[in-house]
Amino acid sequence: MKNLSKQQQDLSRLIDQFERVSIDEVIRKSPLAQRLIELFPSEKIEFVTSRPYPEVSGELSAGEFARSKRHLFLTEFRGQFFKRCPGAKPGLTCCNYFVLNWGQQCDMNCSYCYLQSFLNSPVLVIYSNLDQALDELRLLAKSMGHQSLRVGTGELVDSLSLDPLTLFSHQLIEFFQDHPQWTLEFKTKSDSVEQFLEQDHRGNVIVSWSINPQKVIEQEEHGTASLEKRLKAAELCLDKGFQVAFHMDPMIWHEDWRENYSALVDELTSRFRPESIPYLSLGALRFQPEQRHMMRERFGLKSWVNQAEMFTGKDGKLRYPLELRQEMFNFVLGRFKEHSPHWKVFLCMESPETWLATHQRAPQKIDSLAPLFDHKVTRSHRQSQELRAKERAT
Amino acid sequence: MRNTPHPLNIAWREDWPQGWPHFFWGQWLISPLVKASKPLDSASDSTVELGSDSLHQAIKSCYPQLSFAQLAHLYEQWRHNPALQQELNWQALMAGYGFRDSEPQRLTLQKLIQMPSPFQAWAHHKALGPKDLAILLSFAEPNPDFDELLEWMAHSQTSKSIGVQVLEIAGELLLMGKALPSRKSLRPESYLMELEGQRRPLSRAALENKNQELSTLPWPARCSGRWLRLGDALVLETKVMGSNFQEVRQRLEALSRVFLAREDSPSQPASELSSPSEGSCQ
Repeated sequence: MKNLSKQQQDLSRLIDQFERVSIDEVIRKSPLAQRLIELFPSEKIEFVTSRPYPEVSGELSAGEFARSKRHLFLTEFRGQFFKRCPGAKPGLTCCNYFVLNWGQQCDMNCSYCYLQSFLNSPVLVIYSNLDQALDELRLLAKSMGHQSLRVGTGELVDSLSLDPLTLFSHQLIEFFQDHPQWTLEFKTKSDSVEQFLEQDHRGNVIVSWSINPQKVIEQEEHGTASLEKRLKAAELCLDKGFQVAFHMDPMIWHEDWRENYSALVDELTSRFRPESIPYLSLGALRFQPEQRHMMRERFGLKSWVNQAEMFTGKDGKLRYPLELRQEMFNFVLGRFKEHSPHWKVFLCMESPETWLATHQRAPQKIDSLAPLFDHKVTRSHRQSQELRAKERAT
Repeated sequence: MRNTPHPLNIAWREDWPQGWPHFFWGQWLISPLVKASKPLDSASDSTVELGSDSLHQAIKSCYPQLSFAQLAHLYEQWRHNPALQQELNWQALMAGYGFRDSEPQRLTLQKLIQMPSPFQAWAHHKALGPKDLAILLSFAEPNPDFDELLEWMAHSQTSKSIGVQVLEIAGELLLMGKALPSRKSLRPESYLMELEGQRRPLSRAALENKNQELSTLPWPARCSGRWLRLGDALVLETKVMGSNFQEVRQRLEALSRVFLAREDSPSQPASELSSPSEGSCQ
């Protein structure tokens, strides 16, 4: 492994990790299918005419969910790729964010992962027709091309952990070169960045890392890159002119949380300057109530996530007590401010009460964050969608 | 007339009326083998051959309702009996009773059948579903303490809503390696409160501290208050009593002064008082 480049190491890890690769006959000749056929040993590849495990429907068992992370299914997506972030719901104060899902399921294994209550696919799916997603974006550009819009790809998959296989980053970065007013956000817990570092771009690509103290990573974020590797990858991206952001999310309470999150802030602030980080989001552990069963079964009660004292929030999700969340957010905000008042920190998927308790103002009223929460953009998107629906109807 | 009927294992249906015939579908005896404590006498008992297209339809027509616990018994028989597997479409049977067949559900059926019999009967009578029983899947090995709790729940005539919460919280405590609190002389409702306190010790301590602090305030006459947890938030419930509007208003003013003084008090916890200063780190 030592003589292999980082990209080759990533590829080698992924090839080992997947026990089976099923390729839909329909897209057998697609460039991505051809690439996987070349990369994987032939005994791992099969061609299928329908999704593997047709007998599996509905809720997955813990075993089925774990197996789905080791079985890759390449097919085409028939539907709308592009949609608004699910955080945009009544009762939550959320930033403008649009998501483009080029697949579903993640090859990493975080104990708190919301996909556990969200997905019922028995395989990790990658869609081969990213071109169609880009066509949708082109269409959107006709109505919203002049507005600033953030597009993320990390809702149902990690944006980059599978990128050494798919190389989707190449197509996406190229597309966003033609749309400099829009921002593309990769969100990851991996350190797989080398495959796009040499790509030309217009400075409108944000590579963001979900980060936690190394102790939390070891305890709860299985199969992800270490904190050091994530930060090193972030430094590489900055060096190549990509924007870098961080999500300290989900913050997880544990006995030494103050020391560990304090050390994390120190590490970040010693390696990055606030001017070069457009934003940093904070969020605390939260999950759908029904998710607790699978989490408990898969990770046991030694997990800090499963031991947590959770209560039902206004949005129906289980959350830490409000006063504890406020204490955690205040603590981390305070630590950032000790280093510099210029860090742009916002809360993700939190109630207005928490915003007011920690920031004393709604995000739209905070100069440095207002552009992120400019709902004119999402209103305009909704209006253009409604208009298109009307046009279709007539 | 059949000499060797193959009875289906439909639990808690032993009170098949004496005068009713026995129902068959093929070789499968769908009604219970025992009729009001009298074994089936194939020579004298009347039988009816059900004309349904399939065994699952025949079962449904005989038993319009079967609980998840009853289905657990039938599933146990089904998974050990290849002949039954050939004739009974399990997925269709589950769908007939409003359940969507899936692996987690089958695993829950298997777990339930391993639980103490009184608990199974309780789960049947209270119509517990797979989600109510999900905690069972987290136990890889049998746990005697958990089994004891299940028997106690069944014998204490615990209600469904309390029972489901007790199951989950007690199960989690055991999985965390903690001992369950004593159940002696406790009613299920009180035991649930005891369990909740043990499962969320920090939140309970925080609530107790706040209430302790509240009790030291100089409350005006006929005013009282307590902190409660409402979802994820703590809320202060305050009672003000007066025999007329003026009295209530006066007490509210007095109470307001107490609260104002409390807000200015330096003894407040940092989490409530910290106010991020102006600037872009907001």
